[in-house]
Amino acid sequence: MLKFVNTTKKFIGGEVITTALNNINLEIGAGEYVAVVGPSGCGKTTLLSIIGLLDTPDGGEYWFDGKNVAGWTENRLNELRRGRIGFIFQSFNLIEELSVEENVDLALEYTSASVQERRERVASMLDKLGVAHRAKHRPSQLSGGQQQRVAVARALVTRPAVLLADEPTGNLDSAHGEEVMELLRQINEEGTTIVMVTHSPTHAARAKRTVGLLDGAIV
Amino acid sequence: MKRPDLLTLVAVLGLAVGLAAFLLLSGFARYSWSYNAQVPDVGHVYLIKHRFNVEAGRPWWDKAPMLLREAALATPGVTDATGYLGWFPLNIQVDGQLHKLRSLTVLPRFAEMMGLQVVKGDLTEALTRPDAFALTESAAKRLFGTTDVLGRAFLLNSVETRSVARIAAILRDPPANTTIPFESLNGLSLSLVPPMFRDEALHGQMGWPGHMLIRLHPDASVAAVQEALQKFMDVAILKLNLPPAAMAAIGDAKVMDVQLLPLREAYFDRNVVVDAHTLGVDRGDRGVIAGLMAIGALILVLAAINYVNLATIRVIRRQREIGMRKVLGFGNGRLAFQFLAESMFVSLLAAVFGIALAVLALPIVGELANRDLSGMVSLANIGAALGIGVIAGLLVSIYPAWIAFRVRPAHVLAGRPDTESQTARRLRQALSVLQVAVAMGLASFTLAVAWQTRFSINGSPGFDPAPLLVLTMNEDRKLEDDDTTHAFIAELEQLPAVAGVTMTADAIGRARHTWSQELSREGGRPVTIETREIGLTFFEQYGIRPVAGRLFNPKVETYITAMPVVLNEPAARELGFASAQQAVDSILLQRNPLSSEVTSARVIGIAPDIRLRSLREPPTAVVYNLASNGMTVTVRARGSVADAATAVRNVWPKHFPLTVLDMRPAKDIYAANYADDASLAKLLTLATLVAMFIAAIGAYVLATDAVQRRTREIALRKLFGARRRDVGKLVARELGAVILLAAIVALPLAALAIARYLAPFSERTPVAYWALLAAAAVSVGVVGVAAARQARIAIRLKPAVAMRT
Repeated sequence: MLKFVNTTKKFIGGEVITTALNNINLEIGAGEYVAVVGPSGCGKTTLLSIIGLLDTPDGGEYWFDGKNVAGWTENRLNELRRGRIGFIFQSFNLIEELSVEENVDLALEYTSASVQERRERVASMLDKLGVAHRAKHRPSQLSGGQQQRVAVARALVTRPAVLLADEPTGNLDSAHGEEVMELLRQINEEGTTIVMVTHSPTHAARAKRTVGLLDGAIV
Repeated sequence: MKRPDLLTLVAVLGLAVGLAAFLLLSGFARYSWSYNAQVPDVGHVYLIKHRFNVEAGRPWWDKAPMLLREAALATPGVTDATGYLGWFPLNIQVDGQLHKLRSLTVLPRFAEMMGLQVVKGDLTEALTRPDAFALTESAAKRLFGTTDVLGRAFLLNSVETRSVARIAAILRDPPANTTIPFESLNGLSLSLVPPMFRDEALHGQMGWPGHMLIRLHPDASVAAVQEALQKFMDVAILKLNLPPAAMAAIGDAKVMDVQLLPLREAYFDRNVVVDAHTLGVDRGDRGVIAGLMAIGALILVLAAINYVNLATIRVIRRQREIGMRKVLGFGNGRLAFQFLAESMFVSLLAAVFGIALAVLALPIVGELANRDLSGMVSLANIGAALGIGVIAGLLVSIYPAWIAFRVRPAHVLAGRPDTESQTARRLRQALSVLQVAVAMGLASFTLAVAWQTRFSINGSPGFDPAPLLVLTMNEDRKLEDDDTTHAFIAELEQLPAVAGVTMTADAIGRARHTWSQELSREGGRPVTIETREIGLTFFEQYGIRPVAGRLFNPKVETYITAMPVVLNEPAARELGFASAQQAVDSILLQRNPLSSEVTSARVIGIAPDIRLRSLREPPTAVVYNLASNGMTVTVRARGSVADAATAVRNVWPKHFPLTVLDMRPAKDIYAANYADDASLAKLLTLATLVAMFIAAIGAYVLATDAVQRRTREIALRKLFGARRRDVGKLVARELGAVILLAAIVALPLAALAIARYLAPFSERTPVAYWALLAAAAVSVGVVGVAAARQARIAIRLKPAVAMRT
């Protein structure tokens, strides 16, 4: 489903060139649960950005669902990404000005779903994740665990084929972190491909496969 | 201190422009409110107004019988009294060149009461010798190129004669903001002043009017002095021996009302007659001045709002820096000092730029306002402006400094921004709405004023003014007995470039020389109707066709034909005729209010209603009388108006070698009626441009704020598939809401203001209220352009940003 072939990504900052990904070869099949681990600055987030079609490689190939997207424009990437990829972040990235249900609905706003369908899917997803009773609340009125549940609901409401999680438990205490990890396991059980970036060996161990990164290369 | 960034530059520029607009508009208001302030102890100086209630319409004059001078001096509470006569401009000749000179003939004590400053020479000599004048410095420079002209001679031209006059004194120029402007002064002894007039001015018997000024003792009661002067006039007027019919007509009113008006208020006294014997002076509208002052203050507030918004955004951007400083031990006191120092520096910079901008723009504003504002630049005013800038800088730095105090280092350094509260942000957004609303409202009103002014000037007056040139003759030239003028007209009529010539008492479109009379049908009630004296060929040369009957015809009427008159349609209606046709051939009775003598006149026809004065006044009932002593000659061009003007210029010196030619297109006579409206429109345009500029900065700030605040949301939306146009719509929606709210606030108020402005006009431009739509469209454009940069930033935002937040 996801395939890197000799993929390279460099960042140029003034006279300094940083190689974030160096000749990466990696394949992730449908339904897999992969944990990407490595120290800070090893290229985890860059890898996740390319997997999530937020960025394109400078060299090599990146295949998403049978298409080599290297060199694609932002608009084409957008089209391809819409509804296919869900994102979960360490800092939840919920919009404080929107209610919980509006935050979840945000993910459906640019899909072809009707207003009625959107409303039903949001309600059902909030219900599934146990935060339906908080639908009208603002994110800041929720606990960290609840906020991450809302973020997961937002990531899943489009029924994505791939779920990308960037340090999903980084801002949570261990109990709430465990809760989220269990949630991810269930989601994967239901068939969603998951790629998770984490620092935690314990959480990485919950994945079916672990990929280690160091200085932009797979180790 | 941080290196200046774009936001700082925008803040400085916005504040500078706002401050400049405030300084200019408030300076103009101060200038307007300081009219006659140069007169010593002006608070106790009054001018005497009067109205003669026998006169039709009972208008007020800013003159009074000159016999009141001696009466005033004898009245308890009056410490001084003087007066002056503002004639038509004198024609003088210097080194062979003709010039007009605005001279006042002054009564004793004028110089002392006005506090005139003599630069050189002897003012007493200048005002007492029969050939002497006192010139102002600028007049001396204009005429001679230098102020070193004591003893220099020039030729003083009157109708028939020329005499030599000498300069005996040079005076400091009166300030531009005076209702007693002059270029030169002469005394009553001047040879040009008829002896009869001299006696009347000094020891009045006849009741001839002049501009009379008195100074009251600080403890004197204005009402008591006015009452004393009124009583004096009540007795003096009895000598007129008015006929019983005239006395009956005025009822319980006094024959003459006398009123004291503070000289400081004279500029705002617009309810006075201006006739051919009065030199026109500036008059202002208190409401307009107050409005401009308010607009100036509002613009400064709007600019300050921008500054607060920009400074707040800068603080929010610098939270990490502030947090780090706090961690490193910066106390709130040091932080406050840093922010105040930065703010003071920026506001001082803005104040300096603003003052420079105001000084540079002053001549332009003076020209727009049709006033000489050069006196506004002074060290004191610049100091005050700097003070205002510093105070404004202090005030606007309070809020951003408070936001900086609230920054919690632990939060911001942990990546959780510590922004202002939602209420505070909403308040700032509301202020941005106010900025756009002010710009939109001001633009609506400005457009309506400009369109109405253009409509007033260019609207058809009921005839085609394009081929007509109007020549204003000297007031003392009576055409009926003046062979020179008749020879001039006869020669003009022969010129190939001239299609015809006619004369009128006053120019059509101007009302300096009008009078009214009571007319009635036999057995009908008397109606006061304005009288216009015109020449035989007036209707023919102006291309005016009768509505009923016929108009004056040189082949039928002569100037000695007994009383044929032409009415306009409103006059026929007011006299009670059912139709224009019914009025033709009817006999009207004219009563002389002073002698009660009744004469009859035959209506030979009805003329259409042409515009005889400003559109601010309703159409007037008019009777056209034949007269040969008009002050105005109208020349109709056969082809090119420029050719006709050249032909007139060539012929003029042959007949009037001593007089400066005063010729202007007929359309300009109408334009002169709207000079104040045109000035107002221009000043408002300037204010609108500034307000739009500030609103544009406001929109830029708002967009910057929105994009900065919503960066994460925009990135997330892109993550979920939002296209560029979706993001564009997002920014547009935010700014669209601002424009919509601004329109809701501004347009109803603007509509009210437009309605109020248009109310006095008898005809209104049909497009006045389109100004609301046009202003809204302009506002959308301005806001759109201003926000484009931030919209582009938002559109180009990489969704990967969301991964890093």
